[in-house]
Amino acid sequence: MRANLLGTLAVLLVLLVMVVGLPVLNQAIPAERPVAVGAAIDIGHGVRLVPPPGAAMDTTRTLPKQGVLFLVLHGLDFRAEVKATSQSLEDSARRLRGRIQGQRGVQLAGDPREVVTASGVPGLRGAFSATGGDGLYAVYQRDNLAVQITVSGASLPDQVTAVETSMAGMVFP
Amino acid sequence: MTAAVRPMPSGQRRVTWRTPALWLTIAALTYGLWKVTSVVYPAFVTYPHAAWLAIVLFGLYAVPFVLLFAGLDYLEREPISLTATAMAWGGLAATAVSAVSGKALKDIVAKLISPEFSDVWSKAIVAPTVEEPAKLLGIIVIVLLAKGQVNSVLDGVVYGAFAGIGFQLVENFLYAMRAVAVAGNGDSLPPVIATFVVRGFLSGLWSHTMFTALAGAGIGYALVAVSRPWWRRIGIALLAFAGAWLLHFVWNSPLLINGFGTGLLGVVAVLIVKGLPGLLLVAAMVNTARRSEAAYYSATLAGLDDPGLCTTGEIRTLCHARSRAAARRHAKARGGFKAAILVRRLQYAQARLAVALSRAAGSPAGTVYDHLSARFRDPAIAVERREQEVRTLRGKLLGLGISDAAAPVHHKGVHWTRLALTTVLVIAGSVLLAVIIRRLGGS
Repeated sequence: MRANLLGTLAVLLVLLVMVVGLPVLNQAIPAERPVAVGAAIDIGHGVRLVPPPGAAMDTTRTLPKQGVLFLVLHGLDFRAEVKATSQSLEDSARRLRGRIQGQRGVQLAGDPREVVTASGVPGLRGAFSATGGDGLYAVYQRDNLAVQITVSGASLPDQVTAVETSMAGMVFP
Repeated sequence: MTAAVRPMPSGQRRVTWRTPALWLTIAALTYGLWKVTSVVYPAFVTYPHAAWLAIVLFGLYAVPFVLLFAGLDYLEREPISLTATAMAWGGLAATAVSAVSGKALKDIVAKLISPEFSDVWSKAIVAPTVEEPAKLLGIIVIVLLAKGQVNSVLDGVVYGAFAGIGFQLVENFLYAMRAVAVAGNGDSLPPVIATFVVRGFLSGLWSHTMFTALAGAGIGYALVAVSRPWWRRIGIALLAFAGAWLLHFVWNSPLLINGFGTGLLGVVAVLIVKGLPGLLLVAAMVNTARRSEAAYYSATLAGLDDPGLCTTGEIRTLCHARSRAAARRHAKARGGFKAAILVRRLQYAQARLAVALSRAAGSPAGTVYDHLSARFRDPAIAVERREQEVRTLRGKLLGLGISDAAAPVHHKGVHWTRLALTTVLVIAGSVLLAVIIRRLGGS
């Protein structure tokens, strides 16, 4: 019985290390990595974006292989995703709106309006309300490359200019 | 020379509510059930048809695997309660533990190295690092629950394979549901079929089942090779675990991820290059373990020197599945269907006799657990009962005019008809799979 107890405790210890220890260690290591001010980041497929000043990259939610860049900025979540697509800009925007609307506690606010980057790439930009604060979304598309951006968080009103400047400065290949 | 089988030691306790490992098993399985249900239930609500199809397809897929593993150790079959526990551990506890720890470890890799590295290598590094130990714990728990049952390398392989198939089934179901969600077409069935073809057939042979069987062999060796120094036994067990980790790493690695650049055939070729060496290694190891165990039990039966219990030909026949089947066919030709059934029962009875003799030798003064009556017995009485069973069946066979249930001895030539048929079936199966994948939108 003693050997059984010791063996059981050893198995329990390994299980606890895996189920409790690793998540606690993960929590203890910061996920944010500062981004140099003014430095452009390649989101994927050669699309480059200059993050708003003060933004940090969330290393756990950024997936370069899948063309996903995740930034955090004073409590804001800034997610940009590049996709190869055969759809029109309107269809891409409709798909993104559908995905946002499908989230619990999120409500789209009005129709999107037309926007354009500094280098002339057309896009559509709209807004939504969520329980955790307001949000904005945008889709930019040239040829068969679409960039979907969603930004949300309580501090959006204070950061909206910086976010829009960042989006407008996006460069397509 | 290490014995192939370590007879169940005397005083092997029955699992009671005072066994600590039992409580740990219940707690881990409950935790796993809770975690897995929290993922599976929403899938059934959102995609009911796809979820049911996945359950049916992967459920049917599991049947031949379960039958294969259950029959792997023909001479000393494992109790269903223990194989079911190993399978439940793999499907519930190991899956849940791997999901939690895998997410954490993936994040840690991304934080400490880089998102780029994590994105490319996490699947290869994180999955084996958390999933292999989680499944291995299932075999260790079986050892803690019934140490005497894991008394050969083959036993470790069997419990490892059951833990692996349990994990594989739940993981495949979750992959199928994810494919349905990603497809974005609602409750659609094609993503489930595509997942079934790719994860079931193209990669099913060399997946979790194979990895954990290898790790289980190490545990089996560590328990059975009692004449070896402890460091060697632990070393071999660690080596087997490292082998399982390495096979899993190679399988998940991004190397050759796009195939050899020749479309579907290139992808299939990569799957074979990555998976076949491991499968051959494990198959060779299982074959060696089976031969070794068969030799042990042959010697045990030969020691009786009683043709009324086992003739020399029957002992030779008992050790190989093909010979056993040939003996039944031979009996059917001589005495009809009833003779074939009787020979099957005789083979089972002789295998049980061999095990009873082995256990009696391992604990002459103690008690052994008799699975037939589900009771602890004096080993001599257990042997006596098995002998009685064999003699009864022998009498019935003699009544049909069959005195020896051995398989006929054939020359060891190549079975060209069987070889040709197998080749045709493999080619036809590959073409069918290719057609299915193309229909489902594959490259």
